[in-house]
Amino acid sequence: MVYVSVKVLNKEENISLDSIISELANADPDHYVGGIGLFIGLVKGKVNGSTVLSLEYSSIKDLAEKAMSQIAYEISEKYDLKGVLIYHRVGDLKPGETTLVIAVAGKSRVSVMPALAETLERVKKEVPVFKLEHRSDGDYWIIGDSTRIPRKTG
Amino acid sequence: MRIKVKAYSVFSEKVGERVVEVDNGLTVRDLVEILLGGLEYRGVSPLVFVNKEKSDLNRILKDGDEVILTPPFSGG
Repeated sequence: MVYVSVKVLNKEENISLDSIISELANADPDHYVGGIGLFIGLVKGKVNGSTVLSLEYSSIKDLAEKAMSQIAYEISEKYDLKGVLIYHRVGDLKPGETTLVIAVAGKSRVSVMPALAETLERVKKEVPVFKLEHRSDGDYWIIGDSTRIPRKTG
Repeated sequence: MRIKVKAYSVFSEKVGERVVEVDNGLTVRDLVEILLGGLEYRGVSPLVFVNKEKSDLNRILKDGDEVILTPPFSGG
């Protein structure tokens, strides 16, 4: 039995590390878990020599939560995890603000660390989330992992 | 028939959220060509969802379908 929690959060909704840890610990009453792997994504302040003013995230919320849930269950089965949380934030986020939190709980680092890395890579590719980068040199759509297309206006 | 369309990211430059009136028997490919003026826009080919399910270009649309165009995803 695995505990899965996935959410698309608005900018205003806080993510508490303590609550993540207690959620995962409470879901493991037999204390099988020996470690939690945690990834926290932040908005970067510099890209290609330009200053990032903000990164505007949008999503197809129901499809995004469905995709994150599928990733969480598949990863937990593959790595015999006891808990997976994936929280993706949307809205206009400033450099330094949290965009994504992934926490995976498993028996040891041997399963937890690769599970964390694989979850992150899948979230980047499989969850319908879209980015518009507001920079000192203009606005850019980010397509896929890193392709940038200047936004046309007017 | 009436199809509700919505586009994300770069495709939102070309396609606003709206209802379009089209002929019966139209395929997803036909609709994408009508909306984007081709099968890609600014070098990006869309992923297409019909009623929140991923669709290929050959699907025949029905009255009331909801079509979403997106670029490759950009999570994280």
